[in-house]
Amino acid sequence: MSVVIGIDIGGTFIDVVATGDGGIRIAKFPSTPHAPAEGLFAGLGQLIALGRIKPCDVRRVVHGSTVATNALLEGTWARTALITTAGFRDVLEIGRQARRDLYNLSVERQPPIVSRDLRFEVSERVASNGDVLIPLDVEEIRALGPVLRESGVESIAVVLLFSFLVPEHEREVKRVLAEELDVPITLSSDVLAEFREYERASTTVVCAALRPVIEGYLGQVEQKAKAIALPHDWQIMQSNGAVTGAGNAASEPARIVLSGPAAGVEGARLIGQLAGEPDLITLDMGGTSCDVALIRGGDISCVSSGEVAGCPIALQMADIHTIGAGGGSVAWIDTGGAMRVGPQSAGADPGPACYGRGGRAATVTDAHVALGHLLANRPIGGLPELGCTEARKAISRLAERLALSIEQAALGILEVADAAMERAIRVMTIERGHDPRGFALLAFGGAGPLHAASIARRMSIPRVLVPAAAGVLSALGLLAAEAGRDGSRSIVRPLGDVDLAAVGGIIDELIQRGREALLEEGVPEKAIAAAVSADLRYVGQSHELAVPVPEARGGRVDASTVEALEAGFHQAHRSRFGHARPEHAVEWVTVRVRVSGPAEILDLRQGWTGTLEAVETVPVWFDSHGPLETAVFERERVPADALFRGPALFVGNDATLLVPPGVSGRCDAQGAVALEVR
Amino acid sequence: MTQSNLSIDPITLEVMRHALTSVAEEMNANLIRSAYSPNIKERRDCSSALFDASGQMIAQAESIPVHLGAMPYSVAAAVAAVVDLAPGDVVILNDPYAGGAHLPDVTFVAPVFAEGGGVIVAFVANRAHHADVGGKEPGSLAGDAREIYQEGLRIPPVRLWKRGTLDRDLLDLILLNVRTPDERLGDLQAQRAACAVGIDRVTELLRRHGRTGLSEAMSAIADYSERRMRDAIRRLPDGAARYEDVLDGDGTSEEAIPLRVAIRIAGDEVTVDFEGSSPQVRGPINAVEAVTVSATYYAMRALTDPEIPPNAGCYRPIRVVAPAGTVVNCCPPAPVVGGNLETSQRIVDVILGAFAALVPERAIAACQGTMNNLAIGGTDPRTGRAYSLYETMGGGYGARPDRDGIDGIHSHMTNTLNTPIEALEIAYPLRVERYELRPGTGGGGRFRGGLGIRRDIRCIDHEARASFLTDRRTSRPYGVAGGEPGERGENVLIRNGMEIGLPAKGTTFVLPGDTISIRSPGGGGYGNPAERSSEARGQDVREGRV
Repeated sequence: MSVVIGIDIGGTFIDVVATGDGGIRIAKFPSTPHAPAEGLFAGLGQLIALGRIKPCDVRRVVHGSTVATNALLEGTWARTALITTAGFRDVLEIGRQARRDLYNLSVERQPPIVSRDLRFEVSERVASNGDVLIPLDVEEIRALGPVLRESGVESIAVVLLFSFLVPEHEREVKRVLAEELDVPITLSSDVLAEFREYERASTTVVCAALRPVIEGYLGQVEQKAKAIALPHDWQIMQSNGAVTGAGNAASEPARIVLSGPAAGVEGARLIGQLAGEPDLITLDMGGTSCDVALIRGGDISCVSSGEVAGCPIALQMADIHTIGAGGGSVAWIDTGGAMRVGPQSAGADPGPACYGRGGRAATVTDAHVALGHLLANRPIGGLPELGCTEARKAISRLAERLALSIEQAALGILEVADAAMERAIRVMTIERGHDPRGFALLAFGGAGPLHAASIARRMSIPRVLVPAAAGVLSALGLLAAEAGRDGSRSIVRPLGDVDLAAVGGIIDELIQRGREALLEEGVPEKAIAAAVSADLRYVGQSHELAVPVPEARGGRVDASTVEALEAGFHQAHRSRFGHARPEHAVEWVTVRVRVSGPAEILDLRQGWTGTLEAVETVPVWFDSHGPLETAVFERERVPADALFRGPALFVGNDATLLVPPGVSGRCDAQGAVALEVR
Repeated sequence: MTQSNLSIDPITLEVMRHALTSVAEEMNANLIRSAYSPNIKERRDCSSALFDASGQMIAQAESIPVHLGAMPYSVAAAVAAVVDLAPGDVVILNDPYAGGAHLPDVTFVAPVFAEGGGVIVAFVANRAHHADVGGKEPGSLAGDAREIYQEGLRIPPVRLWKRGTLDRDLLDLILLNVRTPDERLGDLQAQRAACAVGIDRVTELLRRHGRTGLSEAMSAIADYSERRMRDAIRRLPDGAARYEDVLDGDGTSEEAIPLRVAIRIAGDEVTVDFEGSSPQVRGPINAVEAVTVSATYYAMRALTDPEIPPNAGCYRPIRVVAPAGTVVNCCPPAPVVGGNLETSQRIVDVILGAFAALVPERAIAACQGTMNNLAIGGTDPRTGRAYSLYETMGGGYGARPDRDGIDGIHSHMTNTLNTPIEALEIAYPLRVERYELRPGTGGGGRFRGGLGIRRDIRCIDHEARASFLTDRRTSRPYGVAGGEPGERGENVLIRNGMEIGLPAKGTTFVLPGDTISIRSPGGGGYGNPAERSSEARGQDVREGRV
């Protein structure tokens, strides 16, 4: 009972990683996006049949799933009703009254998940101080029962004004409606007890609309897991990089909408931790897009709200910036005469010209092939041999228009792609007040390791890290993640006026809720830890900064806590924004609690041995002066502590690492390659 | 196109475009990040730009269109007024008659010198809307101002930092004349920090590319945008069209104020001529030329290719004629605060109205045509402290040739966020009683105009003053191609259950328990209403939108 399995389902592949009995083992099989559980269990069945997984040895299964994300993207959610305070049923639709695109006259607003005819109002009102101005009318709610039944509603969201102060009205609505019809009822005061009604409503509605979908999927998973004697109480990766129990994921699915990408960032965090790099810029470059995220001080950089598939979700999630630059991005000349790369992508079909499936457009991948970065006889990801002739032909059309050689044009394509990625990294670092030179660049995805060194050089990032298992980083992240449950409650009071006993009570309650959830997931009581923080701001501001609450573990909040919070806030404000106003009153907006259980200790040692020997040398173009004879190494036979110097190519199953001249590197015991870029 | 006329190659051009755009974006991100007040930080009422040594705009980052293309006036004014600029100097200005737009928009301009000083290689600038710059009304939005002196503190282009040293005397003078000096100081410091970021970034580029390299790249980017804009205009059919619409009055009278435009598309150039528009008026809805130019550029970007990087080159093929002394190019001391807010919207309406005849496939019916500015101020009975709430409100978006207008959203020259109801009620002694769409306000058509919004705000346990700067309360947003106009907006005071109509512009006293009800206009419809599909009609009925 020592094996832990991580299962990440992506658009094309299902990655399975197992650990716990010495080293890690990896398996990959095709996913079945329209019936995800089927492909998953077909694959698992095979692994069991082959003896690669012994169900009786498996202690824990952790799952990263795009089911919630896909349901949001495709609109395959449950028919959902929304109940609001009278006068406010359109809050969900009006949102923040801003349009997505300033200059596009054809701009559209994504229709809200709940259409106007399924948004119902009830007379009730709570004031901003918690006074009940208009009591709830039970008969009015009861009368909604038949209406809701007749409209075929499958799920109900309840979002009343100031329910974060007075949750009783929402609870009463649920009590009455539960007697009337048998569908899940989701309360905003349970999902997100925070102020700002639109974001709370949107988050609650996402939960309500996805509940039947996720409950169905996870129910299926549970049954099928039982049938093959695997543990059936799987854990699910949340958008914040921590895992939670299936029950919690099913009742609050808005917490798992970034499950897949968060697992990748968590995997990157693990690799950085093992390599002693607590500050990382992660660059995940695939076929069509490139994701950039940050790890700071060993923690994933999160935002407290974000948008997924156009729906605002005000829950902690990994801060990920995506741009349309990938291996399949197409190079073209625009009407102003500039060479552009993307956002159009050749996709997987026909794909880049070098795939030989009829693609004619010159892509980033074709440029790499033409320059010798990708070797035709060593295709990645199970593709047939790459067509060097096709790649050169596609680029030559562009080169002719530019009066350049094929190699010059190919180098130009890469330079433009690098410039776009540099800008994405600048958005995540410089625009957020961080100096990229203080980070290491961790590159993964099929195309990331080809661009890492040149991007690092452009931006004076001193080190590049490329993990061994770049292709299954997300599945690794599942194994590495701690169990965690976030809870919050808005109070919005000047720090001096806060009722300390009441806040202590809120903290106790939030910790207790998290603790119960983790106990249920099997985390040992002693291992459970809680971190409390306060979202603070100056009175009059409308943005908050999170400041840790010292020694709040026992829920003890006193005058010294307030003093420490105030000092901590001025300091945080100064370091984040460059100035502070110690004479100005501070407001305590929200109490936050993260209850967590420890992560698995992972051993990634690959046990690769031998000396670093080139399998061949090939001519590779790094600049327009001509090709250099470049050593080719097999990525998977790299011994620990081997040192090398560019130019070099490390060819692996899922990615190729390009080491330009002047760059030196070494391999570590975990199989990661670290480059020193100057 | 041939490549021979390019000063730099297509690859370098694209790489430099990213680099120069980053300068503007990083300045703006820094400004938003370090700003103190919600108006800049949350509503993002600010923009930043990079200019070459001759004052041509090279790159701009903006989150609302009203700043588009207006900042070159600031740089020109700064250069004209401050002749001996030195490294470390930062010029501040807000005078609409010398590089500004309206007084709350405070602009910073800083020169970037080549290393070793001596030669200016670039300018960086940023503009932010300050929540108060003095004047007769809180928020510096006096709907009944008669001359600019009532609108707030007027700052000509002067150095607030000289060779890196803050001019304390000048700062004290500024802060003494505004209602919330603390907040102002925080925002001014953020603007200066943003200039510093821009200067650092340009200096880095200078090191990397040299003076010649950088200046070639800057002209190349402007030329690039010019080529793209000319190409986009060339795709429009040649022709001429006129359009006329009105503003509801200037706050001193309800007499309609006409705006007239004549558009001529010839080859790859466009002329937008406002000859015949109303002479400037007594009330505060006069626009200075920079505002008219911004509104014109907005319309041209929207009609051509919004992806063209906004810079001086982009606007070279566009000629704006705005006769001096008119409501679209006023002379001192006319009050101007609403020119930026309301008149700019109508300028867009007349331009798009004229284009609808020339380019029917890109036509759009009129959007709500106002920002519904509302300021409420008084003393909070809970704390005894003065408060001032400023809001704008979305409304109906105009219908398009292939789709309905959007219900309840900001259009054209603004895109600022609303204040969440729960945040508003915590911060102010006010209660929002409704916030909902106004069924039936969208103009009928094959495609329907968007719906207006109703927002009712009750005044709790105190007396307050409410100022309105709104429009389309008499006139209606036009329909296109047979579509019907959108419903007009209304400002209403509800006292003891009685509804009392209020004017579009002005200030009113509000008693405890009174409710201010703002009802924004709907958008115009597109096409014959009889051609509306039965599914769309059914959905409108089912969802209670008609």
